[in-house]
Amino acid sequence: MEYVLETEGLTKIYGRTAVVDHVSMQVRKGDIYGFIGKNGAGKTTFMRMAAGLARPSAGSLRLFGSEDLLRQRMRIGTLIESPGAYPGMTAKENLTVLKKSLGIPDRGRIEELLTLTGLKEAGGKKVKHYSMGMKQRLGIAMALLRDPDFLILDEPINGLDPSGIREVRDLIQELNREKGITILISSHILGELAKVATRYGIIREGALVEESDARTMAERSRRCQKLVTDNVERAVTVLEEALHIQSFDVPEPGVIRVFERLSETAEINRVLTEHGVAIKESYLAGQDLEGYFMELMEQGLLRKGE
Amino acid sequence: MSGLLCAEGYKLRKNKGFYVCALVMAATCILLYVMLSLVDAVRSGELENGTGGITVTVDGEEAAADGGSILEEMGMLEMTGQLFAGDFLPVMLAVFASIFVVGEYGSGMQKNIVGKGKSRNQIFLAKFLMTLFAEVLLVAIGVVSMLLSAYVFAGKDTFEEGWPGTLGIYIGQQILLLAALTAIFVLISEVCRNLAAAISLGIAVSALPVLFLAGVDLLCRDLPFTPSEYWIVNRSMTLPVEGLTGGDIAKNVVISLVWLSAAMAAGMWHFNRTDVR
Repeated sequence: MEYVLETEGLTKIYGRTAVVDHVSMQVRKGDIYGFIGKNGAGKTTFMRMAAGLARPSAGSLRLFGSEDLLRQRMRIGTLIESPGAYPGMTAKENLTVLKKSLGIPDRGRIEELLTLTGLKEAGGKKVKHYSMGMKQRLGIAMALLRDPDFLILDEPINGLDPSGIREVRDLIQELNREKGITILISSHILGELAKVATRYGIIREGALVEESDARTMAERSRRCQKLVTDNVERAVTVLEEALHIQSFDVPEPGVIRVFERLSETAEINRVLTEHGVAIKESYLAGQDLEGYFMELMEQGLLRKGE
Repeated sequence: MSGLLCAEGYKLRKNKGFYVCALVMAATCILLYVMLSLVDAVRSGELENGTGGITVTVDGEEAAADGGSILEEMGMLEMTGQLFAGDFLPVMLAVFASIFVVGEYGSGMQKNIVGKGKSRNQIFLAKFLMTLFAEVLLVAIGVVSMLLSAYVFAGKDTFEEGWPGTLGIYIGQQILLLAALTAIFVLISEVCRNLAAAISLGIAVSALPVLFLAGVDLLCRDLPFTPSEYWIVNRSMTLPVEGLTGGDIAKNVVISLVWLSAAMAAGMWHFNRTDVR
């Protein structure tokens, strides 16, 4: 497996607080890696370390399988928090400054990017007069200037209207599919993230609590009836033989998730009870990525409360 | 490095702050001559004392209309020296350096450049050198404005014999001393990364040490050296326009280079150590 980004115990400490706490993450080549976490969970700090803007307090980081980060970061494009553009300059001028700074030959690249990000008409307008969405698009154009192999996008759809969100989503998918660019992306709009991400990492209080591919995540966040019982073995037999249910799993000891006949939960409970299975809890769970994420966060809060 | 310098040059060309500072610099030089022309006009009796709200006093009393011309007395060289004698230039440079350096952090491109294959030393150095270059340009604009004003308001007689050589040495020394001061402003801006704080501290560094060192000189009067002689603002303000010896020049060069190198090294060290937001 070829990895674009690998971290091992990556940690960032501010004062006495570990904002990123021993995160070991792997972004595979070709991934659109959705990075999920609440505000202040450590997403941006992690991305800033990957981009070379912040120094890790501990741990290691490899890019494209190499530890020569300065060289490898030439293959990265970043949009972290805000675009980092001079408000008194136009989009073209900002791109020109970046082009000169990074020593990129022009060859019509600026025009190409302005067209790609839908800023061609506004290319001559000063950035201070841009809307939030336009600024984000400019940030994406800047990130793409050097034709990167790996894009780090922190909240790239922040401030965009629905059509802008769709355009950025299409752009991300196009860049990934047609140019083979690996993308690490964070967003608060989990529904949007779910439409593009092929892999997810969930960060809570600085620690990576879950990392899985989109299929597994979809499976886990699938709508289901959750049953909590002491006798899983017996319950499984009843589900299969008495209720003829095939689609279920046992994600953790004492918990069964049933994915079919969701409108008949009372009937399922009754049959299980009749067959001597004591049901401690029975409820409908998992609606979408957002619901799953909220559930994970609540679990974290409960554990913290304990 | 050349790409970074080229980008810094482009940014300087597009920097409104630079043009405003240059304009203020030129206007101040012209205003200096305009004011002294008015004073001359009062002293020669062409204008009545108090015209336009300007009252010329000599030793606390209104000047009589029989005095000589100040512009003629002073000459172009001494007038140019006046440009460097006060806090004006250091304050102007503090404001410009703060805008130019701090602007990279708040809403600038620093985070798009750092960590993209260029070493932090190169990035800092490019900004540092371009700020010094801007300082040279601002001083040059001030001097050219003084020369033009001198020609327009005082005529060609105000240009003393051999003035290009004398002025060249003097301006060269001033540029070097002010470059060291600008390097300190770059360091302050790099450490603060906040415009208001950087400008305030820059102005404080321009003005306060002169007063502080006056006290230190008094306290250390028995020492074989005068502490204030080693502070660049003091040296810049008291630098004589004419009669500079080789020893004076060498001392200015050494002191400027020491301050400049120290500020550059400290700024580079800080830029390397701290995160970019």
